[in-house]
This record gives sequence, structure tokens and C-alpha cells, in this order.
Amino acid sequence: MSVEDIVRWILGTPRQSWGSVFRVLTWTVLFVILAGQFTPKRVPQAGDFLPTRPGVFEMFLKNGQLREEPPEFEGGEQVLNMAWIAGSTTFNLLAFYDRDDKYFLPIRTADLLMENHDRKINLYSYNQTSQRLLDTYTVLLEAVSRNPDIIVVTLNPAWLYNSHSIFSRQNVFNARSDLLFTSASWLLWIGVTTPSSHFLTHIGKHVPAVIPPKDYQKAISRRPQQFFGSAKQPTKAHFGESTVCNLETPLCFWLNQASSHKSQPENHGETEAGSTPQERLLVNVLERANTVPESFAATTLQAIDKLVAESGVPVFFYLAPVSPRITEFPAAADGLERIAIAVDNLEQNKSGSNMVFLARIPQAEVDSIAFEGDLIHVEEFGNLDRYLAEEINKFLRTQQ
Amino acid sequence: MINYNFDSTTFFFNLFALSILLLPLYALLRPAWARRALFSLAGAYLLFLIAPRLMVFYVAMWVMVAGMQRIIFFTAERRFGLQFFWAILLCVLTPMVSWKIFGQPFEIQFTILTNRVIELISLPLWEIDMAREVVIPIGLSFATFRALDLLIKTFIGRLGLLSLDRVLFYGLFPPVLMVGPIIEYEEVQKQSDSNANLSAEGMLYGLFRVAFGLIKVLVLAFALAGSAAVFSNYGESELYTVWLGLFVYTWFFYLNFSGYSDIAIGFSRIFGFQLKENFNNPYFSKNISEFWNSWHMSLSRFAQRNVFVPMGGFRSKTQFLAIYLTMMTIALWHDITLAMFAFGTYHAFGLIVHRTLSERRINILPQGTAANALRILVTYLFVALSFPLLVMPLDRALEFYPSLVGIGSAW
Repeated sequence: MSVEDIVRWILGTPRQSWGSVFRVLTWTVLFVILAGQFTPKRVPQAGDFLPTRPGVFEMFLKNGQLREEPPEFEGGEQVLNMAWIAGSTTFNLLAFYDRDDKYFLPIRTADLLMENHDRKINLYSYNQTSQRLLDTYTVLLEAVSRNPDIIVVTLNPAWLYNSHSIFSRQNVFNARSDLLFTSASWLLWIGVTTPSSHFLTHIGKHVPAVIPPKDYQKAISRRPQQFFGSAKQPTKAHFGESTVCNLETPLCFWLNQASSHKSQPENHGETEAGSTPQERLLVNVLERANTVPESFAATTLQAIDKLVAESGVPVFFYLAPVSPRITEFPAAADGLERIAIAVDNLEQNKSGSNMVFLARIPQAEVDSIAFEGDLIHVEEFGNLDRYLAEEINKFLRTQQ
Repeated sequence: MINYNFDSTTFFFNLFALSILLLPLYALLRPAWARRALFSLAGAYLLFLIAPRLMVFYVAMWVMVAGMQRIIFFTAERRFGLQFFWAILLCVLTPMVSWKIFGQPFEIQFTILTNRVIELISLPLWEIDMAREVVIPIGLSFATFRALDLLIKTFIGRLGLLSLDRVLFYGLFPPVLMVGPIIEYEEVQKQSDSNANLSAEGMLYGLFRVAFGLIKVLVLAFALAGSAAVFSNYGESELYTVWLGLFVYTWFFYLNFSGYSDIAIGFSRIFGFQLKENFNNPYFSKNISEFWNSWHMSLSRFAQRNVFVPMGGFRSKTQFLAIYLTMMTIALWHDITLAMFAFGTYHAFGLIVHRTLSERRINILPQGTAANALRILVTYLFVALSFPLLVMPLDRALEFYPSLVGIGSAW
């Protein structure tokens, strides 16, 4: 019996009308909705490992998280709602899986802020590692729509003006592609979102069974592999060359090919620089920082500026500090300087007084930070929490 | 280092989601040219979603194929027509053959070159292109054979001159872009010239066929996918695990591949296109000849039409050579490696033996259900034993085979 025969046998009835099509589709939709009720609400997220306390809420927007609605922001005069959009530069990432004293900058800063406020601070953390600017923008659109008292945005210098990896596989913007469809960013919407992401955004939210449960797929597919004697799974994060490149596909490919656009400065050949694979990657990315106005980054930052100005929500942007060791890599240091100048320009040309772009953390504060493994990820945060709390406080006073 | 993270399910997921828009538009559009244009645009957009460089490459390729078809059409009967024809076939084959021979270096150069073209178009497009995952010319083997088929049929007079929009429609026909089948132009010709309404029957059949394919790929094949581990861990596995792994893998391979074909065939039927079958219960074939008539049938048909028949497959003196060359075409289409040479030779040997026995009317087994079951089993075993050559380099395959008799495995 061929597939054709089987399908014909299933269909059975000699007359197939549009009514039949309607009935089949109705039953299919009902079945999918029903199946969704048995689908687990949530898959584990990287942020589950982050420290927490009462008043801290995770606000992930990844596909897996669509099964669970992020919490509503609390109202009332007694509460200051602070949203914090950030990535791996706000916790001790490289030592994270090996140690107990996990550090999370937003919580520490919020605690210090509370010392100067008589209001309870609720922290709504939008944290995602490898967060690209498109993700930041999408999350910002979501956060702004909830009208918090303040939003803090940590800009990762590696990904801010980066032409080689404007989005990565995590793609928050794919989980909420509807947010990107604005008058300021419809071109981005066309360029980067996909039909399946629209489907997930609009249908998946209400019918959880249609969401591809990739995390479950991994868990299921391991079983037969174990039966057939697959290699041992790594038990903790290991940042070897291949791991880094797996995490950053296809960025590694393009960096290795020394690919650059005519708008970028020439590659200085620091490909082999850096003491770790992660560091080599970041040195290369920083070196190729592309701040020309036609770039995706510049377009996205224009859209961000417009969004914040129109929303009236106070937003504090700061460029995450970079290890002083960057001076060992002159081309990367030049790239970082270009980025800082571009962020300074954003501050000077901003469309509203409800935002601030902090491009440079004072050297004394940077010197108090212990970087580990690469130029951007931090082991000990030093005085950064206190410095940021003071700056955010100053900014908040200007907004009252 | 290159990491390939492209997943065909992503392509089909995008195709389904796009169809929510495509289907009503297709139904509303009446002129056949507009429907063709809609499908071509959808195909180009789906390629753009994989990587803009692939869209640019394939659109350029099919525009060139349209030009080549024109040249062949007007020169076929003239002096040097045959030379033109061979030169054109060589042009079309070069990228695919280079890919198969040079492998990763070709992939790298292909990616860089096409990305450079994108750079000339626009900076944001260049940035999008680099952020897309795939860095191989995915779908090239299918596209090359479809192009060859079109050009050969033009040369022998089976196809007339096609307009550019028809060639683009055929080349960018969305359901078959990534994982086939290798359709012939005639399979889509009738519907591409039609402005008829969509039919409930086609819609219903297509939906069920797609569902059938999805179950094969996402449920059955997915559950068996881990069996591929047997090809890397046979040294530490027990004897029965190696055999079981091999058998399970053959089913994974079949269910996955035929599942995608079901999706492509079903999806096409929703829009009224009746594609030919690509699989027909191959593992229940009673002999190797029957197997190759029911496994990846679109490729077998291509090889039969364009290699077996012209090489004298129906003439007694040349039939064995024709069989060998046909099997080599099929094998080397997958990859030009020593393992695939061995794969093609192995199956050609099986086919030649079967042909010889059939011609001499030698029946090793008597007729009857039990004998048929044995025939099916023997054919399946013959096929299963060729899978290591399909998925491993020759040296590793030669290490794998002894583990099937307990040498090197942990029994």
C-alpha cells in the first residue's frame, strides 16, 4: 500500500467538498489546542540560574517562554518599577557554573538604589546572554509598553556596532516579531523576521502546542543516542575554541575569513590575538566596529531613540565597561573608541530628555573591576554597582 | 571551522506560515502569469530567509538557465549545436561537481563570493546575510539536476521555448527547493498555465499528505535520529547494538527523507500541482531493481532518462555498462567520494546480478508468501549494508564493517 493509497483510504468519502476541508481544519485546530493543554508551560532558561530575591521578576521573551506570560508590573506609589535589559556583562558568566557566589549586577544596583529611596524597588529583569541590539530593541519595545518608572539598558560594546552578527540564534525579536512592526522599524521587521516567527508570535501565544519545543527535542533525542552509546555530555560550561564557535555561528566563520565591508576600517590582523578563544572573538568583533550611519546598528539606534522619546519613559543606557587590557590590542582599542564616540553622539543628538547614554565609565571604577577570561565578562564587579546606582539616582532626580 | 545549523524543518515551517498568506492570494489571482510570479517570489523570499546570498545565487542561476535554454532551443538543429549543448551542460554542472569534489573549500569560496555580491548591493543586506546560519549552497544538487533535465529535454525537442517567468517559476518552486524531489518541468507545467479554482479534493489530499509527512519527520524519524550515533560509537557497542543501530538508521533515513517528500508533494497538491511520487515502500521491495524503482524515484527517473536509456540500457551488449553508469550518476550525485564510488559499484553489482538472473529466468527461491518475505528481507539487508558507505568516509566505513561480525565491537 503506497502513501497515496493510505491517504486515499483515510479520506475515504468519494465526495470531498469545502465542507470536508472546513471540518478537517476545525478538528485539527481543536486537537492542537487540546494538545497544548498537556504541553509543559515552560522550558528551562539560562536565566533560571541567576540569583533572585522577592521583588525580582524574570521577563524572558524567548520562544519557550511564550507558554508563560511574563508577570504584570506592580502598580502603586510605594513601588518603583525598574526594568533592566542586559546580557552576560551583568553577571559573573565565566565562573557562573563553577561557584556558589553568583553575582547579578541589576539586583545589587537595585538594592543600593533602595538605600536612597523610600519606595520598594521591583526589578523586572530582561536578561539574555549574547543579546544583540535587535534583541535589545525588541525587549525595549515590550518594556516601554508596560510604562515602568525607569528602564536601565546595558549596552554590550561587542555587539553594539557589530556588522558581523546583528542577530544570533536566540533571537528574542523572533519570539515577539509583532513588536518590531513599528513606523520606525518596519524595514528591520521585513529584513530579519520570518513567517514562522510571526506565526509563533500570533498563534503560538494562544496555542502553545504549535511552539517548536527545541529544549524538549534535545532531551528526547538524547535517549536513543545514549542507547547507541553516544559520547558523554559535558556537565558544565566549557569555553573551548569549538564551544565558542558553536555558540557564535556563523560569526566565527566570517571573522576567520577576515571579512569586512568597505565601510569598515581595514582588518588589522589581530585574529590570533587574545589569550582565550572568547577573548580572540571579542577582540576581532571590537576591531571591526562599524559605526557608519547606514549600518543596521545605527538604524536600530535611531529607532530606539525615537521610541524612547515618544514614550516618555526614563531610560538609562550605559556602555558596559571593558577591561583595561584592551590597550594590548590597538585595533580593538580603536574600535572601542569609535563605539564610545558614537554613543557620545547619541547622547548629544538624543530626541528627548527622558534618556541618557553613558558612554564611558570612569577609569577608577573600571580599575576596581576584575575581568576574567576575556575583555568584557566580569569576575568581580568592584564598585560598578555603587557607581551605577549613583548615576541612575542622579538621572531619576532629573526626571521628577 | 564551519558549523551547519540549517534545519529543513525551519524551511518548511516558514513555508507553512507563508502559505497562510500565499493560499488566499493564489486563489484570488487569476492570470496564470501572476500565479507563477507569486510562486517565484515566494521561493526567492524563502531563500532569502535562509541567506540572501542563496537567493541572489539561485535567481541568477535560473536566469542563466533561461538564457541557456534559449541558446539550446535555437542552436539544437544547427551546426555546432551539439557542442553548444555540451558546453552548456558543463557550465551547469560545474558548481555542483566542484562542490562535490572540493567540499569545504568550495563551500567557503562560494559563501565568500556570493556574500561579496551582496556587499555590492547594500550594507544592511550584507549584515543580514552574515547573520544567517547556513554556509553551504544548500539545494544545489536538486537545482542542478532540475536545470539539466530542462536543458536536455529542450535539446531533444521534448520541451519548447520557455519564457523567463516560467523558468524562474520552475527553478524557484518553493516546496522542492531544499530537499527535492527532483521534479520535471512537465509535472508543474499544466497547473502553472491554469487559472482554475483550487479544489477541495486537492486541498484535503494535500493537507493529509503534509500531515503524513510531518508525522514521519517530526515523530517517527525524530525518535530514531539518535541511531546515527552507531556510526561513531560502533567500537564501544555490543554486536547486537551495532546491527540494531544500522537497521534503525535505515528507517530513520527513509522516514526523514520520504517525510520531506510527502510534505513537498502534499503542499504542492494543495495548490493543485500533482507531483510524481518519490518513494514507494522501498524497504518492501522483493529485489534490488524494484528497490531502485521505489527509492528516491525522482533521482532514479532522472538517471534512467538521461543516462540509462542513452547509454543503451535496453541493448544487451551495453546494458551492464548503462546500469553501472546510471548507478554512478545516482551515487555521485550525493557526493564525489571514494565511499560513494563504492556505494554505486555495490548497487550496480547487485542490479547486474539481478538482471542476469532475471534474463536467464533463474529463480533461486520458489514462489509463495514465505519466499517473498525472504526476498524482501534479503533485499533490505543488501540495502542496509550499503548505508555505511552513504554516511561515512570509505576508511571509516571499512572500519565499521568488521564490527558487524564482532571484530572491533564490544561483544
